[in-house]
Amino acid sequence: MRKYIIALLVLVILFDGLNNLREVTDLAIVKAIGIDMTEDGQYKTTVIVIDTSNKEAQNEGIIYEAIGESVHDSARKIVNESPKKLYLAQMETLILSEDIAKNNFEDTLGFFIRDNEGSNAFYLFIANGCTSDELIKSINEEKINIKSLLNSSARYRGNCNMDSLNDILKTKMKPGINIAINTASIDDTKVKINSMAYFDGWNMRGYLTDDESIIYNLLRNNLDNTIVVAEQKENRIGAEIIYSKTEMTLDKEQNNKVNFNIKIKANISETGSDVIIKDSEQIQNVEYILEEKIKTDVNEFIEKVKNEYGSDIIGFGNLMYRKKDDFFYEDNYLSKIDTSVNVEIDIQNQGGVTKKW
Amino acid sequence: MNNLLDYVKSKSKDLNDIFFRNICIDGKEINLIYDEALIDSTMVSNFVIRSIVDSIREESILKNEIDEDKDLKAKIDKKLGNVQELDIENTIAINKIKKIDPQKENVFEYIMSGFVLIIYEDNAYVVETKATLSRSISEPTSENSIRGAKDSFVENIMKNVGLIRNRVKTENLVYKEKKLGRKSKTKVALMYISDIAKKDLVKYVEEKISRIDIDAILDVNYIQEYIEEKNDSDFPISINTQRPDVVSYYLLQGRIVILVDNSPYALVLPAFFEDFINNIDDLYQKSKNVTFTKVIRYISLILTILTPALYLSLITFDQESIPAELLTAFATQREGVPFPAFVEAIIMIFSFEILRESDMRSNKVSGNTLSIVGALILGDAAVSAGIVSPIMIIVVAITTISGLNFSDINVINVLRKWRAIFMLFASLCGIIGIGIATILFVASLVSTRSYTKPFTYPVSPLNFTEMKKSLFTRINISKDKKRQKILTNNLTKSR
Amino acid sequence: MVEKDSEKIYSLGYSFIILSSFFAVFLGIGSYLMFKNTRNDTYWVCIIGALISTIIFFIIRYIINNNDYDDIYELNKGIFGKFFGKLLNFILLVGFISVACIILFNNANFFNAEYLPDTSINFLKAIILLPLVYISSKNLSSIIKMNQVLCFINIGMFVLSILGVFAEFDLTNLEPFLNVSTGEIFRSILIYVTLSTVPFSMLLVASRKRIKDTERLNGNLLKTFVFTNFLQFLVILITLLVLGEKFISVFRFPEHIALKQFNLFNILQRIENFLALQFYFSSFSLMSFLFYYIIKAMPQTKLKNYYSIAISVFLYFLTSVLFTNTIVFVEVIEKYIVYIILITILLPIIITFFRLLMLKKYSNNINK
Repeated sequence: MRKYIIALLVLVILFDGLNNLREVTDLAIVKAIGIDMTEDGQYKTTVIVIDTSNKEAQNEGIIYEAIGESVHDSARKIVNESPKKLYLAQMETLILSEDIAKNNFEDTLGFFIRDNEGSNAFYLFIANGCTSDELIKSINEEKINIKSLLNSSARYRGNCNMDSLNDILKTKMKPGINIAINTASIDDTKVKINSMAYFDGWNMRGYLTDDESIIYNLLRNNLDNTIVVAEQKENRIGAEIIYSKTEMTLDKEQNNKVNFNIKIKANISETGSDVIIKDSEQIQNVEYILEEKIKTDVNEFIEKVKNEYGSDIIGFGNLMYRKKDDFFYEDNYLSKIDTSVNVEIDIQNQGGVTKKW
Repeated sequence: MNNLLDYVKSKSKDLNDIFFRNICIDGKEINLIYDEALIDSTMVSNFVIRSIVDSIREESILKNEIDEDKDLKAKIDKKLGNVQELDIENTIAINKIKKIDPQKENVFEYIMSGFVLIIYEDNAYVVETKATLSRSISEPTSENSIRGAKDSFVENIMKNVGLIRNRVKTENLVYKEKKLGRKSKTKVALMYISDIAKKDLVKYVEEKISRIDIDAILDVNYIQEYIEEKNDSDFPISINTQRPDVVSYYLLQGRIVILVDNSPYALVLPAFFEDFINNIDDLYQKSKNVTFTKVIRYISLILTILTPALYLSLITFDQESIPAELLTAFATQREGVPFPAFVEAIIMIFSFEILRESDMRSNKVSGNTLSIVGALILGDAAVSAGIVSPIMIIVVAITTISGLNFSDINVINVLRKWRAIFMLFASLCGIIGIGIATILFVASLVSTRSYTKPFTYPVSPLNFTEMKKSLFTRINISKDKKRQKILTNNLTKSR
Repeated sequence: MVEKDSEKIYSLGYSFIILSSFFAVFLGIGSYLMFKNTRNDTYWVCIIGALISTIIFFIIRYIINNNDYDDIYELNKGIFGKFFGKLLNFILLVGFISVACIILFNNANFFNAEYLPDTSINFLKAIILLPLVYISSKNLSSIIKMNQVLCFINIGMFVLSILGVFAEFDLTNLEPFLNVSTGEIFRSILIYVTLSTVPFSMLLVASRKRIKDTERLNGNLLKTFVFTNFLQFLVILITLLVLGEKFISVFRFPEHIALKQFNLFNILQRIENFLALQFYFSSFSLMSFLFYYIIKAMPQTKLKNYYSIAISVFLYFLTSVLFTNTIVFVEVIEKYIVYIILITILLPIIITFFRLLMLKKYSNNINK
């Protein structure tokens, strides 16, 4: 055994094999990156680095920024300011400005896909109404944990989703579907999650509204929990959705029709003063009202996607490609698609209360 | 016999502990020669000398009576011949007596073994009157037994054989003895059950033992090195044990036991890898609950070898495998430490090994103080002084505590060596280094042969029935009807 | 009881030779090519390929069962006479050396691309060759036992990997069904069959004469064959389920990218480093047998112990000359690997098989 150890040491010395050795203290662990585009086409990178010099202040990081000709170049220029080299494997978020999302999205992401030091497990944001370095600096000042913010928004409200970069790429590469990415904005020095932005190919086209983001996530099976309110004032019914599942199928007779089948389980959480729920007929009435509300919302959203947005973010094309329907290959198939929506709501309980007090 | 007496007296000029006793009765002279340090003096005075003196006196009384009665004398003379001879062998009241021929045998060998040499007329007799120079049977010192029997071997070979024979009371339990060592003349014994053990293994061991020609055999390890001279692997291929119930269990499986006088350890061969990890105490507990204990032992084997290597490769090469908060914690802790990770690991493990070694060597008086000082050094003080980081202390603590599971000193040495090799490879190449070191370890483990039987027996030449019996689960004793095929040809155990 | 060189080989350990070397041939070489040809129908193409490769399996099993020699070199020399037998052995040797080069470079490339991008690939090649030199000094039964232990470790890690990526399965990734043409199916089957010849031909390192319990040999071989193909089918299926058709074509090692999504109860994440050791152990098993073959083919002189070092150095320089970077390697694999294996490994085996058949018939005719 001694021979092999000596051989190993000789090999290490001969081939200079310790290039990849780096101590933990040599790393600047990056928490978030924001990328901007300056006027003359150069990239500006802002990073938050976790401060490890004292044990107490761990949520507050150090900010560095630099300008360079490519993403990697500008990130490497930071080394002139920071004593440690940037380490991107534990990154949590990547924030891009609107400008980049509209024009240079694919080029910018190329660096992160190729980089083999980390996995593509971080979340992507688009800075809505501000530049990304302002957003980064706000995140740092307010000591916000952006990952938990996203987590709680996605789980309990549903106007954003927890897709990492890998999931976004997977969705993008499927034929016949376009992506939508979360956005964040600054609202009076507080960072807020805003509605989603939709894309056509690799270019951003615009923003969905808040409610439309929820419907989008419902149709893409990314919804965990949200609140839906039907009617108004005294007839108001508020329900909390705890489970939802959407199935998209092609219609058998017409080849340009898609059927949606949405199953929802909900709990009643609040009602207006005129609403009485005592027997099964009244519960079915309530279910019917909620179903109609959701159906109209979904239909409006689909109409808007077909006519106004013009980009297939729901996935009709992908469904037709998978089932080998030739309608997908026609020009402008999106505007010629027919849909029918069917919603089934199952009310589980009403909060343990059976009689109006 | 005057030549013999003069010969002995001339040789023992510098041996002042050899005593000579001369008894002259009735014109007959009897000489007793013994070594004061090795005999039991009550036995010599109460039994040997008294019975000689009494029988001589009876003889002379009887002879006087016979002489006076002439008819009786003629009858006795005709029938029995010469009765003038004092028949020491049949009159002496001692349990072991032998007549020797001083030309062919070395009388000093008998004197040095605690025998009394009796010279009478032309005959020389030796009588065994050995003193008990060993301790009494007590608890085993290096092996813990929770629920089993708590007697252990002592330094006297006959007592050890007695402890074994108490448990295996069959006449097929063979006991073959040899005296080896030119200056030590130690008794070396070979025990096995003749209708269970395999004949070629016995022949091999006997042949190896008969070729030993050495100055002295001081311990059972001397025999072990002679028998194992062809084995060039690190792992031990025979078991050293101090407990007679362990030895009887192995004898009934078909293994061979070697006992050496003056050594409280017995040598059992052949040994497999699972014998060093499993414990005989598992047989004394409920069979279903033992699975968890066995799993813990195997996990601690893996932990004690892999933990420092894993930590080193995670810190220096693969920082992406650690969750982000833990990585920040590591980075914060390691800020103030001036050494690179490998040097820090070496320092800590070295100091723990020094602590363990000094704990074994120091006597009971100063033992407690040293362990307190050691804990102080390696605990808060080193961290506060900024020499090591707290995470390193936890890693080394896990390693050492898992290593305490193994009691055999050979196994501990092997694990130490491989731990160092794993650490070296991991700190130079990262995760590939751990892969390479695993391959080297498995190759070295698997190619060991324990007396021509494969060392990793139930796992490596795969045998499912044997694996079920003792690897992770223990089979119920009432259902265990067959012996192991690799150790014996006599397979049925119970009917 | 002198310890002889030809010690006991048991049939179960012998049949695990197939299992431990199968992953090595497919990751990076086989799977990459198959995914390129038949994109998301690879999983059932793989089943058809497995059915066709049973022919080669039965050929090799026939050769093992019906000869009285030690291994294939002796067999060739025995039934073909000296000249023709040595020619066949030489062709086999060329095939084994080329497969060893490919596996060595593939393995070093994998580690260079995924873990240690800054270290030179030469260092990685030398590091991979180091334990092979050690294992070449042991005899055949030790190599087979070591193989068995590594196999168990591999199966354990594989089960863990499946449990971890289970949550990422997306059944819609398998559609559209039957999206490929017959030419592509045929090419994929050809790749699968020729690549699975390599682990089977490692079985020829011993024969019926050297195995202790021959009555279980055929049963064990068949069971291991079915199990191995099932595991390979699972790997391909899981990669497709996790990644999807178009995403696979982006990467060079798609199985590793699928393994990166490992997420067990949100506690163990990103441990694909350790799970990638399956690939390393599998390549090591395959190369240890290749080394044994190459050393056996050399003339047996006094310098037997230094052959392994010489062969390592030779392989190192050969890969440095032939494959200068990964693009060249991928080109070589796409164009030539099927022909290399067909001509240099499969052809001599088939010739040997037919000759054995003829000899059996001839001797039966005489005995009648």
